[in-house]
Amino acid sequence: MPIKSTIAALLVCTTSAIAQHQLPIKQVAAPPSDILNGRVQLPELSKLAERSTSALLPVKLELNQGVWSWSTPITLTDRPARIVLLPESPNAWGHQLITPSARLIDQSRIEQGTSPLAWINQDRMFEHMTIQPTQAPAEYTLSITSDHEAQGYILLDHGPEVELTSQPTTRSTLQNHPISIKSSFNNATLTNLRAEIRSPSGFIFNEQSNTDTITFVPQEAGPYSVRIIATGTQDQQPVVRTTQHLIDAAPEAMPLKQPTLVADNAAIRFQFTPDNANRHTILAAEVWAAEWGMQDDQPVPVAWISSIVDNTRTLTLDKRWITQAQVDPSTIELRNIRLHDIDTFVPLEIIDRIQTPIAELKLSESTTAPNETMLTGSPGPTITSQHIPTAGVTNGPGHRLMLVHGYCTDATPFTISHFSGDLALFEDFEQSRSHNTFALEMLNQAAPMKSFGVVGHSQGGMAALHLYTYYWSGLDWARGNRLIQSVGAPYQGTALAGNAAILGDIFGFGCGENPDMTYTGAANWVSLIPTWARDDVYYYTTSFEDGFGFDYCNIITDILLSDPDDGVIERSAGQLPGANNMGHLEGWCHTADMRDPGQCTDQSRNAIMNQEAKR
Amino acid sequence: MNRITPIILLATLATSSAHAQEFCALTNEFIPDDSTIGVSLPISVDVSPNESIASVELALNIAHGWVGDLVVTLESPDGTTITILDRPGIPSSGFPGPFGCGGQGVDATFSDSASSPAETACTPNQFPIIAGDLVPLMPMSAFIGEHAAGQWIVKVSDESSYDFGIVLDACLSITTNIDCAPDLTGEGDLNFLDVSAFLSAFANQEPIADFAPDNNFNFLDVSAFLEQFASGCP
Repeated sequence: MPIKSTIAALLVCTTSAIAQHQLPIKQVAAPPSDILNGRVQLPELSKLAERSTSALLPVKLELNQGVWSWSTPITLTDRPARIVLLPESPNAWGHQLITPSARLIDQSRIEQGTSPLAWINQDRMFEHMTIQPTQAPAEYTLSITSDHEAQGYILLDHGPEVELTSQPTTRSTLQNHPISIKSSFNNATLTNLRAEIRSPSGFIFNEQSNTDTITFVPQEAGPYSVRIIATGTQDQQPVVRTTQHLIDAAPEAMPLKQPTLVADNAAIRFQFTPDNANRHTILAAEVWAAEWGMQDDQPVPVAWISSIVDNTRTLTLDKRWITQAQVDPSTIELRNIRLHDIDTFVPLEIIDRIQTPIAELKLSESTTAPNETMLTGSPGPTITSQHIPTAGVTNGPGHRLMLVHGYCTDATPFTISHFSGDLALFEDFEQSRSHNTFALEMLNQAAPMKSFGVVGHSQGGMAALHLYTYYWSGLDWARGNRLIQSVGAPYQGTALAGNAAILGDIFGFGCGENPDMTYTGAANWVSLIPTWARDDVYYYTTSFEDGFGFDYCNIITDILLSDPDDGVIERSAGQLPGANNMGHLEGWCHTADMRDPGQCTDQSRNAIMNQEAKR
Repeated sequence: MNRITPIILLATLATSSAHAQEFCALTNEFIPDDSTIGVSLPISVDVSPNESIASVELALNIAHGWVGDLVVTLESPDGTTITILDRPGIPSSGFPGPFGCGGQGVDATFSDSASSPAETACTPNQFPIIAGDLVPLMPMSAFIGEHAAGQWIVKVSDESSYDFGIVLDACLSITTNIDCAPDLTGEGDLNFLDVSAFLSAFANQEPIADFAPDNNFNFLDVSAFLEQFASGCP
């Protein structure tokens, strides 16, 4: 056996260990069109907004004449209203809805039921009620009683007329730097604004504002859950709405400063100031320059470049991009230089522009179209892994189709019998992973395989896309038609991520917060995914069967999401521009325990995905 | 590379200048999967015994689903063996993975004069993935000075499972020097056997007898042979 074959065999046997230490990374690039169409640009701040037509209010019982009780006014209008009771322990509360004339509401006007809190806690059932509309707006009273001090929340859905919009005012959310959230009603007058904030260590504090903006300074690094409570008036009736944010306060990074330029025959390397924080980040920048002989004109985009970096913080530009753009290297500048946290994608630093002229650069011959190495870099660079995979490797070698579950799942959601051929099951149950960590777990479990394609549910699709974009793996060698197929993936985030941070803290959803799936986290992440990678994604979305009246997949999360949704993902937030939209189907929900069947059990779609999958 | 075996690229020159000739194996041979045994392709190099090797190139066309499985060696008639490819991409510093280069197909010419190493020629989505003029893993210069004539062996093995392929073409291009033109027997000295060999080749109009290199066989060749024979060899 040749020596190299022996080494190969050893590598196969010890891939897990190898993967922990040296990870093959891509020098990611995208053509100027990706800059011009905005695919690789940070999102507008308005895209980071949380929107809500509901209110999540804390219930704080007080002892009164031997009974623990709490009440709140509720304005009922000419639209149905929904109330969800979220006590910290089951059956802890009794409740009454009292009319303006101080009588119990006619029970025939209330439709009651119980549902799990989808995505957050599937084990508990929560009471909810739908109240028929009144002829004219009137203030009712919801009264809650208990025989002990049972805290919790109520979720009130008042209908879509008044929507609260809250958005951070800065893209970077850093430890020890002020974070501001601006709020507004679309159809009401804002009269009071406050925030209930929980720090990563669990310390809860409140902020109040007389303006439309709440500001706080995160003194800890990590995820803060922020509940904005906005009160106001609409047609002289009181309104209250809340939004729930999950904001990661990232530790500050060493400033990037002016890069040093190093050129060789093939590439230019922009070496920024090294960091000593011993952490991985994602660095990205646009390259611009003036066309030859047009130095007085506006620069044109040359390429967008990005990579996962360690302390050395270096970006690589293939010189063929310069040749292709027909620009003068002495006019090169970097724009929109961004350093992102690798797990939360929080921009740690954003620099508008740095001049990086290069004199006497020898260029390669003419190139007419980007080829693979221009988009992914030449093979070779690695980065030392900081992640030790936790899940074991149970899949065999070969060319396989990997079925990948999503966030905080206890089983493979796909009906496995709908798939055939060489299959692999990704198993990392009941975890909350960042996209990057999720991708590294996939890389670990795929290590025995020569190549693989992915059918992913929910976050599984996004993690596969992250893996394909930033790391070399068996995905790069898969053959067939479709590399990554996803069902119900929140490419643009979900409102549940913020709500889960608050509700999960009470109800013990075991998996923890996931900033990558907030609207902000998703928008920051997707701005780092160029079109060439998106083009290998084929995605499906679903929603509840839409008939007459209230339709939903999960009645509780339906209050927190904009229709149509699948109980976890809004159809609009499931879109990935630049990827292949394989259609939207009604009558299927995110998971199997919702009103309509689980989207991963659709035999027809599964058969198509199985047939078309690259392996 | 559809060629007849052997093909003479350049007219043989009955001088000490270099000859470049191409010889191909009978191919379309299946490569046993997941085995170090492989397939051995003999190539008969029919040149004068007095021709020594100046350079060697190997042109290979292999249809295979995963070139990282492949090991290719070349053995000369003297028994010198070099490795042309050894599971390209292995070992790697992370890329392209523990199974080596995952692309398909080889259509390349391996020579010491190329500039890109074959072992690292691996760009996803390029077909064939190992293509063009490439430097073999071990230098072809190992053959320099050996006699070219005889049976060469190209061995191709597939040393990992799940992918397989066939050798479509394997051709050697050998440039030789004639050590001593009149020493047609390659014995290292000049005697009546060389004269006999010349007369036989002249009668059969073999290129080796074209001592006045004009592609004609006449008294000029006889005269040139006798003149060089009389001058002796170093």
